[in-house]
Amino acid sequence: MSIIVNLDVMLAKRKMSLTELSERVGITMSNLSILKKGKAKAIRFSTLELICEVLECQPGDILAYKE
Amino acid sequence: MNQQDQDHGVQSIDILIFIFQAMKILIWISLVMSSVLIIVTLIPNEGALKNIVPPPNFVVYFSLPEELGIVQWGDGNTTPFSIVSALGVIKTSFAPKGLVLFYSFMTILTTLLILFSIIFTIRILKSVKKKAFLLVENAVRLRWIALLGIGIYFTDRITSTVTSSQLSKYLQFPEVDFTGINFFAFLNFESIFGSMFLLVIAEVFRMGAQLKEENDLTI
Repeated sequence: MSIIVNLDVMLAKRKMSLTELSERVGITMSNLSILKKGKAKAIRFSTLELICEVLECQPGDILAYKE
Repeated sequence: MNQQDQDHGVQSIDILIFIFQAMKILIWISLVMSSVLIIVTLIPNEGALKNIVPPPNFVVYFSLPEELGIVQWGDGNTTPFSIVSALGVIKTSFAPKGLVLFYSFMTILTTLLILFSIIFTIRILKSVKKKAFLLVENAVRLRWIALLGIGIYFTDRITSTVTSSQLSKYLQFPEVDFTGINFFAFLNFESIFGSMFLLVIAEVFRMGAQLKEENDLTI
């Protein structure tokens, strides 16, 4: 898949753990793990909005396109 | 679905798995017997083993062109009839080596196809038991079962047509015409239609499984 998920990079920049993000966003750890590993097939706008809100970033900081 | 219905469902799946496992064992036995027949046929000298293992029973097509019987219809009308196409099995104590080898080889091939379709069916049933049915793997298994069904249809028809046409030259029986090709038997599309239908179902199932997978992996 050519869409890269940079969630781990953003978490490192914000010095936040996956567990904390999970608690603040309200998404299960297993789902966040799927997203972080790039195994997810799709992401809802609502989920993306919540993650961006908590991490104080833009969708482009989390998702990137790589050929 | 309540608990009782779920229990009945699990029980019926267990029964089905048991039936298919039993069928698998029978198919293995048949496979071993056909292999033994091939080995015995390939033994050059006439031995005691050949008396123990006789040639297989061959399928033949025949007709009775003479009007031998009378149909008595319920309204009092009577009319003569003849048998235009029939399928039978002949038993003989000797058969040419080539024919026995061909028949045994084709039997093994058909048996293998049946065995694989049973194995795939058992795997599907086991995934149903685990409540993980709507999977792409199961769709692929269904597709294989359908393709194997088509394969079984053709190997079976080719075997019976070849053996029947070979034997029709040698068989003699009063007022019976032994025929090689029987279009009534060959054009019996019931089983192949079932397989084609299963192929369509498998494709729809695959699409459904892909949709589910996509939905499951949507965060």
